[in-house]
Amino acid sequence: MSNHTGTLLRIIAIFIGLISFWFVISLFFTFLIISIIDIQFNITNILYIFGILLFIRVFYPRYIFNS
Amino acid sequence: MSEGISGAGLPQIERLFIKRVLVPSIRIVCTWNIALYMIKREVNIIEKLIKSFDEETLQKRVLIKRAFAIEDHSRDYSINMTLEHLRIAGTNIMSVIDALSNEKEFPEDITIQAVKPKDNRKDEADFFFHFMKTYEEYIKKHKKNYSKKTKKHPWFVNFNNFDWSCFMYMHTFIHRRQIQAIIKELK
Repeated sequence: MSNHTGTLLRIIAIFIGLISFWFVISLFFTFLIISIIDIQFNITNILYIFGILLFIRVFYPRYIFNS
Repeated sequence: MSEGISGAGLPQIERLFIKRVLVPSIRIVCTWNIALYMIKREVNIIEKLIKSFDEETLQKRVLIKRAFAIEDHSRDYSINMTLEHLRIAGTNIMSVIDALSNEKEFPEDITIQAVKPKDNRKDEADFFFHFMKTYEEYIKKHKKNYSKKTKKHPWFVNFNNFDWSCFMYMHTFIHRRQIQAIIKELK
């Protein structure tokens, strides 16, 4: 495998690792939310929270497409 | 021995991929502390990679094949020249982060030519690891705000202080891969 391809694959792996980190954070938030309001702990709700978390990150602390 | 022109930049597709995909994505998933953790990891990898080489080998220039995000002019570096580039660029990035964090303008123009290695000195590794320690201490004590003031990277977009800290990580990672390519050619 070329160094060029290896670097690109590593970049993908880094992003998978970082997305997994935020998924774990959203798990924590899901636990927090189900302890406050009456919703079920299931994968759909975890993915909702995860999506909301990433959506917030798009705009805060800085709009990601701000150049 | 150098290929291309200093500061000529990356192929258009690579530059656009970094500018339009990598920079926005890293802004979503990275934080100040993640960037610092990842930089420390890269420095440890570099340390392990180069520890078995003598001074002469560390200074030996070799031409590597095209590597991702490395401009053609920088393809004939030695390991020490790569470390020197990381140290010079890192010193500038630290100054930019400091100015932007205090919402001050960074008056100097940032150019690729200004951060090219010049000396290829035999004890560069010591200087590099010392600088990285300084950078680590600086970021640990940093207030980790998100500045409104920005400074443009010559190839990409306007970065604020946080963007520059993420860039510092990605830059170290890209040149660690360059060091691995140099080592492959040396063997």
